[in-house]
Order: sequence, then structure tokens, then C-alpha cells
Amino acid sequence: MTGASGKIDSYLRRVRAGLRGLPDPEVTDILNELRGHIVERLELASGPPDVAIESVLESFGRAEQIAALYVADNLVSRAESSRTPWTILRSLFYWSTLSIIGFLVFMICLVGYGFGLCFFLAALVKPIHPEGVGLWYRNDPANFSLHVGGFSGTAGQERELLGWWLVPVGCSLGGGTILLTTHFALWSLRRLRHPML
Amino acid sequence: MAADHDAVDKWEVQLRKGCLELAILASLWSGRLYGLELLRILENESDLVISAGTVYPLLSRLRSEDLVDAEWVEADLGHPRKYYRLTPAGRRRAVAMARIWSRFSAKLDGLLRAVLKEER
Repeated sequence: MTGASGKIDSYLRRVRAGLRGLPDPEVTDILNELRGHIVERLELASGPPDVAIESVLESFGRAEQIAALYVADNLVSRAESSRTPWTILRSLFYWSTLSIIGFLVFMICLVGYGFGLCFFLAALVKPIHPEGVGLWYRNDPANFSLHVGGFSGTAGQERELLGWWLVPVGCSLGGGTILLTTHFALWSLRRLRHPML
Repeated sequence: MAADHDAVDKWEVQLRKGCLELAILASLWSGRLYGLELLRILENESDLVISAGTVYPLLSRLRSEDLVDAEWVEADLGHPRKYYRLTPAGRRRAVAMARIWSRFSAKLDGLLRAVLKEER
């Protein structure tokens, strides 16, 4: 059984490495359960343990894939329960390392949260620096521009469109964009988490 | 022809994957089970042959959704086992899913009767 024990330990070490990010008690619980299953399957196997261990571990699947399933489900649950952009982005970042769809969803949400934050910041900074922050517009066919935030061009080149309306509009657009991005992220995680692995 | 077989195989895999959660909840309906027992029941009674590496993470997710509870129980011989049982929310989910499945499969059976009759 010594050879079998070594193989079990090595397999579980690989699972443990993939479970980074999960709380320690949860990792111990998962590893104990997997070890119990493998040992019981070995006890039931007809051949010598050192030979049977290969087929038992094979029937389990790749250690890295099992760990990824645990971590993905855990991150999805955490994202659903916390609903904070930071936790959601962390979950999406992990997903982005596993699949192209995950990467696309992560990028879309990064842009969504970025826009939301910009709108909010513009609304917050407007009362402090009223002349320097706004929705700037340049009606020049060769160099058209429309952007929210600080004014960086030469005076007279761009016109500010919203004035003090930037505060309510920025807050509403910022909140709305962050809310929509959160809904999209959670929807994607729920709908797509299984095909991702 | 081989492409046809591949497509049907892929469809079957997706179909089985889709049924897995319902099959697990239904297996736990009569009482608590530990992982290996659950796998045997799925294999013998539902024809769902799945790897342990798929079932354990799924059980972990069902637990995080409060659909199942888990507890470690010392075995008389050997190592402790982690037993799973349905929570009240899990029982409600199982009933809701079973109703949908039953209604859907009854209607689909009606459609399939003609296909299978033709094939004979």
C-alpha cells in the first residue's frame, strides 16, 4: 500500500495546489472526503492496491480539473452572496484564466465597472472643481470627441454640455452602469459556469 | 456518419449533465448517503455513469446553495464518511424539478412514439 499511499498523497497535493483561495477548513474537508473515497475504492478493488490505484485515480479525473470545479463553484457562490464589484471581478478573473468566454465576460465587466466608476467620480469631483470636470464635446469633423471627466485640451476647443446636471446624471448613470454590469456578471456566471470547465 | 455519431454522443453527454442535479436530489430523497453510495445509486438506478471528480464538487455546490446538508460520521470500520441529506429547501427543489421533468418527458414521449414506431 506504500506505493498507493504515495500516489494518493501526490494526487491530493495537486488538488490542494488548485484549491488556493479557499478557506483552510474547507480545503481540509474536501481533501479528507476525496481521500476517504479513494481509500474505500481501493479496499473494494480486487487487485493489489499498488496496481488498482492507477484506475481509481483515473476514474476521478485530473486533479487540477476537480480543484477548478470546486474553486469555480465557490467563487460563484461568493459572488452571488456578496454582489460587490470587487468579489465579482475576482470570480470573473479566475474564470478568465479557464476559458475564452470567461475572459470576454471579465473584460466586458471590467469596462462596465470602469465606466460606472468614471461617471460617479465625475459627479463627485464636479462640486470641488466645477470648471475642470464635465461632459466635454468637440464638434470638429476631423477630431470629434465626447468624453466625461477632466478637460485636458486647449481652452475654447471643447464645450461642456451638462453643467451642474453632471451631478445627478453622473450618479444615475454610474449607479445604473454598475448595477447592469453586476446583473450581467451574475447572469453569465450562473449560465456559463458549467460549460466553462 | 461518424460526425452523426459524434453529435449524438455530445447531445447525450449534455442531456446527462443536465439531469445530474435532479438525479442527485432524487437519490437523497429517501435518506442520507455518502459520496460512494450516491455514485453507485446513480450508476445502478439512473444509468448515469459519472466520475467521482464531478459528483463531489457538485455536492459541494448544492451544499453552498443550502439544498443539502453534510455531516461527518465515524464508521465502525475504517475511515469517517461524509454523509449528505436533503434540506427542506432541497426537498422543495427536488419536487419542483421532478414535476417539470415528469410533465416534459410525458409530452416528449408522445412525440417520440411516432419516431420509434417508424424505426421498427
